[in-house]
Amino acid sequence: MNFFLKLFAAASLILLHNGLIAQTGRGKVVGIVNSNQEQQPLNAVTVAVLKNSKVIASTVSDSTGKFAFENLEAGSYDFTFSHIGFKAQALTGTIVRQGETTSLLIKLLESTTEMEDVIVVGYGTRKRQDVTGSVTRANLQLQKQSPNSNVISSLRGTVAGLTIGQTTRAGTDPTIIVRGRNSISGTTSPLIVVDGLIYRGTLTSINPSDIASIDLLKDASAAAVYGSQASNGVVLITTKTGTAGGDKINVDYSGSYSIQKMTNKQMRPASGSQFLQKIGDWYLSESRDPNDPAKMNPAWDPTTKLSAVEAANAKRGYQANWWGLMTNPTPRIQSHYVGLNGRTKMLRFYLGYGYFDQTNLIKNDDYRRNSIRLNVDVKPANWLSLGAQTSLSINDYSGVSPTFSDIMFLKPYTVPYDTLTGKQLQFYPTTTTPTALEILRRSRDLETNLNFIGNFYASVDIPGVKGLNYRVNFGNNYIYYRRFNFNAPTVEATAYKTYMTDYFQTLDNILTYKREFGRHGVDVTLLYGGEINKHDGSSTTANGITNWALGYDRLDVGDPARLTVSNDLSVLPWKEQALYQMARASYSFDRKYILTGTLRRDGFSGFSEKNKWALFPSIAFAWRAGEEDFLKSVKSINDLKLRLSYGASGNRTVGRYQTLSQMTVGLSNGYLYGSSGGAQLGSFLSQLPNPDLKWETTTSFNAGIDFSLLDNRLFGALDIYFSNTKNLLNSRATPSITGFNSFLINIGKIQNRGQELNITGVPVKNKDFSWEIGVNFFRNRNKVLDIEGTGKNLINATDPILSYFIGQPYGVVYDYKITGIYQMGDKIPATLAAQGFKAGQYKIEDVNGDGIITTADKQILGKLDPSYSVGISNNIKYKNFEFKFFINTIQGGKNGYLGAPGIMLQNPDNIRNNNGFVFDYWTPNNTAAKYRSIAAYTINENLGPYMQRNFVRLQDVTLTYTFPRSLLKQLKVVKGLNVYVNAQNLVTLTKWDGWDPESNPPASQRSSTGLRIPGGLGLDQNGYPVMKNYSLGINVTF
Amino acid sequence: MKNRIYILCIALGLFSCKKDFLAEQPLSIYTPDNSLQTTSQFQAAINNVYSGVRNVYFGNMDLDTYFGLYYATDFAMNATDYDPAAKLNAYKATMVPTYFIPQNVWTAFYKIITNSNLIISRTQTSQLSDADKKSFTGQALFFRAYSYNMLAKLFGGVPIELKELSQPRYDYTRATRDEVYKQCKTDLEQAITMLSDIDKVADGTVNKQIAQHILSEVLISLKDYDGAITAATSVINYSGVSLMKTRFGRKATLPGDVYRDLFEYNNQNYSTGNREGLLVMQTALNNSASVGDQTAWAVVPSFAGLLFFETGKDTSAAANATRANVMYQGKFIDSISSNGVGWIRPTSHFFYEIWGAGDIRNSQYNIVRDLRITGVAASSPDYGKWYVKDGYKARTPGRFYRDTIRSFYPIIRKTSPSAGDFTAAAGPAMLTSTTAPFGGIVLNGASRLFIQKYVARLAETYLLRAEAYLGKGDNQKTADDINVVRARAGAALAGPAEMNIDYILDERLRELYLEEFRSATLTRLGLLYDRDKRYNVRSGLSIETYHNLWPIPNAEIVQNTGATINQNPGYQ
Repeated sequence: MNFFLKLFAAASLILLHNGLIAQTGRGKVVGIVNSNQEQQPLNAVTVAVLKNSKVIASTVSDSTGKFAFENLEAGSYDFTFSHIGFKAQALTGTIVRQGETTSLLIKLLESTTEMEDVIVVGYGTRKRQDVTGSVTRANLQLQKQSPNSNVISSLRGTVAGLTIGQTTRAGTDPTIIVRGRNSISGTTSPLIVVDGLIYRGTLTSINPSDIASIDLLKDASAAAVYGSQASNGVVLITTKTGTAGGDKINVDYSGSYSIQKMTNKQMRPASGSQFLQKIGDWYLSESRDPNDPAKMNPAWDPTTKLSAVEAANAKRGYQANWWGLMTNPTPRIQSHYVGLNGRTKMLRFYLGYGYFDQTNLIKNDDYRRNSIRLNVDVKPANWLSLGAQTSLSINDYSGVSPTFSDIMFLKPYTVPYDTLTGKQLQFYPTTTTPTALEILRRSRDLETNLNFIGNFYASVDIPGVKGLNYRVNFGNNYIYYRRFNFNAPTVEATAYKTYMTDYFQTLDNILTYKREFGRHGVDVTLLYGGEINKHDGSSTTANGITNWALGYDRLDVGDPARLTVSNDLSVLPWKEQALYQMARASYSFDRKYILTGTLRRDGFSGFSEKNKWALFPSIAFAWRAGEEDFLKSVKSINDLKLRLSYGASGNRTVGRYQTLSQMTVGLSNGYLYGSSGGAQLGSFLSQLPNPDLKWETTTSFNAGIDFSLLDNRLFGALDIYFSNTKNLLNSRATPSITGFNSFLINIGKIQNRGQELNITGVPVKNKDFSWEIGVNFFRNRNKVLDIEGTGKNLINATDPILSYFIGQPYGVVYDYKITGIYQMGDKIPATLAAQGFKAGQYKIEDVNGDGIITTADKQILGKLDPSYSVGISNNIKYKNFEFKFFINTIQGGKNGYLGAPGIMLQNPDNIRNNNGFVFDYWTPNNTAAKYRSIAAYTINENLGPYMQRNFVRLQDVTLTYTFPRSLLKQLKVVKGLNVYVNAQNLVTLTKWDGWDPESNPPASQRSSTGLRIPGGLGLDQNGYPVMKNYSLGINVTF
Repeated sequence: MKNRIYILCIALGLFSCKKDFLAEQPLSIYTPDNSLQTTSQFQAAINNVYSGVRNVYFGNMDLDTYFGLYYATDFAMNATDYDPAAKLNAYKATMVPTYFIPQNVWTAFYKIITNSNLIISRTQTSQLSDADKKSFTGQALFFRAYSYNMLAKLFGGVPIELKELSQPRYDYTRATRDEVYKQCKTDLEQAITMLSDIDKVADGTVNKQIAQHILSEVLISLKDYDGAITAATSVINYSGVSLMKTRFGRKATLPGDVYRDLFEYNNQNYSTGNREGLLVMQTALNNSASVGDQTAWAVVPSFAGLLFFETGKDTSAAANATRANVMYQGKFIDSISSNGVGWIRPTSHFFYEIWGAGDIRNSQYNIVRDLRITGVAASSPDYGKWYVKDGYKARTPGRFYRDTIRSFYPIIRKTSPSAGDFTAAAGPAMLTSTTAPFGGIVLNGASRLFIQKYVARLAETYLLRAEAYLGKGDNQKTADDINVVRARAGAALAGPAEMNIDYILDERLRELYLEEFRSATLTRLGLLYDRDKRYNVRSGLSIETYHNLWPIPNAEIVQNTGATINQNPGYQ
């Protein structure tokens, strides 16, 4: 805390100092800036006075659009006006006379080309035209009406270079990757920055309605200002502020209601008859006609393989519809939002309240969010602004939902009701085992987290030094997490209570100097900041609770010997600190040539003593060719800019405590001596010291063109990039003779290169009819250059997706090639038969031709990453109707974008013992099946074919009707009103087998033999479905 | 203006990067520097080593791996993948260098070795008292030797690592099998000088006698038969240990025999009067430093699937639904055994070929060979009849036969508690409140049992000494030692002429079934192929001579990039 106090002391010193400064002068200019369209005064317009092309003073308009320059020498001046979302405007030759007041009335046009947007670039904002790096402003409108619980999901497919996964469980964050993978063990998620401060909470706890804009820093030169956390790009989120003009308060309401359906309806548990068929397909030798294995043996009775109770139910036709019992018939989402914003001369505010409520397909997979945000900006003096962005969101995930596999595995003839009376049973017949429904009914669960944000800032225009500004940002993010659970699968219940808190604090001092001297422009930013992140928590579990009356609220009534306190490191306290400095200097000449250099120095507590500090430089150059005289005369070119950049950024990867030697101490590896000996702790060396570990560094080169052509009817950007990442942190497999299976090393190199194209065309634009079409294209290739410093391939002996080959893409599939399935009557070589190959099993390519299948027969089958992705948006307006649709596709090219849909199928034992969905497995009468016979397995139980995940998805369709102003005027109170219908994930064209090609299994998910799962959710008993949403919504502004 | 910037710079300078701001504070992480100093901290470190060994003995490393130490031998086969043969039943296809069972066993023992090395190295530089140093070092040396001995028995020569590592190594090569055994000898001999006698240590603690016992086996492997005899004799002659020949312990007054007493719940520890156990793995119900044992669950047949046709009812296929459970509710009762799934299926050789009359190790208290039918109404003519004796098993139609591989075979009680113990051994969730018709309480499906287990008993010391005498060609003394064990069991005494290694292996089956890791015993003697081929109707079909050693795990070879670890001959 001391640290922050000192930083504050510094800030207040500067404020005091500034109060002493006074001004002198002779003339006066006053004016009002209005928006042309709505005739409303515009707040915070930057107004600059130029004398002989030099900026001599600048100010901003107040909430009534007024601005003033009190003391100007008499003479002729030029004025420039710029504002976010509006075209910059210049006024030349304004005469100021001594003792007189000159009045100006300016109307700003809303900007029509992207070039003039003011965008956020990290520790500051810039006009797009002055940006030198690869920065993209996301279009939040494209899928605004889709019912996404987080804002990033609504960008899926819309930004070139940004790959966003599907979310399938209520209230979860999607996976995000910017410009391909450049880390093996580290995160590939971009850094999230909200209102200028690094944000470490979940995206879902930010209400999308509170967000005004999202900018994406993609290349190293843009992201370098965030140094050691920037190599995956940076997402800059800006929340709303007061925009309503003239002492008025705008009130917005929007609400929507969505119903959901599974996109893949086939994936349901097998019915009774399908289950019996499967039993027969397992006992192939018994169930088939001995003379013709393609025919069933009529004498075969599958119920002989069931327990007596199940057999009786099967005979009498009693079965349970577990799907119906454990899912919601009407999964739905509803969302409501009320926003107020307003501004006066000294105050701007935004107040937003949002309610989001999702009832997902699986029972109790629910998510509810209540969020409130208050953003305030105060301007007590024209040189001082103070403000805060504050929010509270309460996220509620309570309720134990059965896992999908529970629903899939429960057998249809295991009936939870009395077959005579139809009454629900507490226990399965003739047992004391509670039914799955009963266990759910008994369980109690509370899971909520509270996310508080309180970010404060002060901004001082230091008078006397024109263009010099000092800003201090103080960020506080406090997260309070609770999970209480009570579970009673037997007469003894288990309950736990987990409490955790996170407190993330940031203090940034930012000094900027921005000024133009004739044709020379200077823009300098200096940053000095620090960060302290703290976590605390504890979790207590009681076992053997027999008095259930108070659930998890009385842990003490369990067996005292089994009351445990968690030693889980994700619960227990930790702390990490960072300090950083950054300098960014930009020089422009003649507003045509812009050169930017940045240098960031990062210190992080998690780095080892040897490597505490990291340095990340970058440089970028832009040429606004469109401003050159020889192009200005070309009418078809409205704007043209070329960008070149080169720089380095990092990925922390090395987390806290990773360089230290660690002992694990706990009861779970402890011991006792004697029948009544007490439990004693055990301890062991769980991590070898690793003082050499450091951050990963990505250097990248980016070349881009921004263009606007044909009267701004065709505009966009094209970027190509090359990046090299070195010092990749990788867990190198070691012989377990060392006592460890792996050791972290910092040694690999990966190269990424790619192209991004964003292009928007406006084929038609009339008063009543307009059509806008946007296309984005993204292609990335990567290649492993070195993996362990030896130039040798690193082959993981067991896992097919964790081997690395020099010169091949990162994430190749190295596995057996399945060439087909052995059929009845096929001649199988004796050596293979001895290995267990027979009819119904996969045929594997024997690469070395030695007659048997060994690990030497594994080969590179393809890669996990796609070749390219394309998103196409269409927006058609006709009078008051707006129709838009968005198509998204990801294509693997040749052997790319591979997944293994069958890798999570159960092994033959469990396939027989459990229910599951029906899938295309081999039997003598289904010889063209995709998957092997369910009855036995060879070599490896997770063996299965790989296939491409290519898909084309009609992701979003929206029809909006906006009520005409003339109609609304009669209503008086309502300023704007529209209603819409929306459909999300309406059509997906894919050959992928299973839940969804675009969803990713959770990182923790492993196959039955411990393998990591390639992307795509396939025939996974535990997969969650992607849903189609049909929504109806309304937006009202009062 | 310059002044102002200057002031600003000073202000910023106030919090210029203090070094300690970035110092890492491990709030909840222990490091060797703060956690390997005091006696209690070293106790925690050695506790973890015991826990590592217990993970092997209780199947806590991985169930299939654990069972692999028993089955695919002359003792048992895998009953879950019986037909078509899969897993270790299809021995040749499965027991390959990439198979997880050798890898898991290898890893489990090398982790014990690593943690033992840490204790051995850190005690030297610690501030511990001399007595503590001796005790911790002795225990760690014992476990290191125990682990290398297991590895050498299963894999042959393995790489030897005796140091605490500060960096990973990638340049291991295999020592010869004899070199590994010699290392075990060195460690054990040193440990023996440091360890206390069994009657002077807490229950379950490594002691001089268990170290001598293991040394005896190591010396047999080194063909130092005289040394082995000396080591075994010093155990046998120690006054604090003896074979249990009369009834003892918690159930001594109930019907039964002394062999069953050895395995009754809570009868294993020295302090409870048991003088036979040399090292007992500790566990207790509801103790958070304990794990349960799943052996009973695996070795007891699956009863839910055991059905029969009631007398006078239609036995045609169409009438399947009329079959009835043999057992009341298809479940076990606590007076017989805990519930099972029939994963480990002992061989016919074990059940039917090795037993002679009067041998209490095969008594109804230890191996249950028949059950009364209770799954029908009391009015049924079948009610209370014996399933085997009264011919019901024989009358089961052939098409149901395959399931009986798992559903019915004699029940080994050794790893199960007895009636009344279940609450204490497996917890209240195990018991229903339902009384079975012929006594006993019906059990729920719980599987984990918290019964102590022997690492070694004195009976095995006699069998080891017999083996050493056989190695020397002294059949009389071989028979004498074997007869000590047989006499206690009430079995007919054997003559010197019968003595050979097969006899000893059969005697070990009789005495140590479900105790010894049979795979390791057979690979130690190079007889896995021979015995499996003869007695295992499943894995015996595909086993070959090169299988007498397990394969070196493939990942160890691949990931050892700085040198070559050679594979055992025959494996590809």
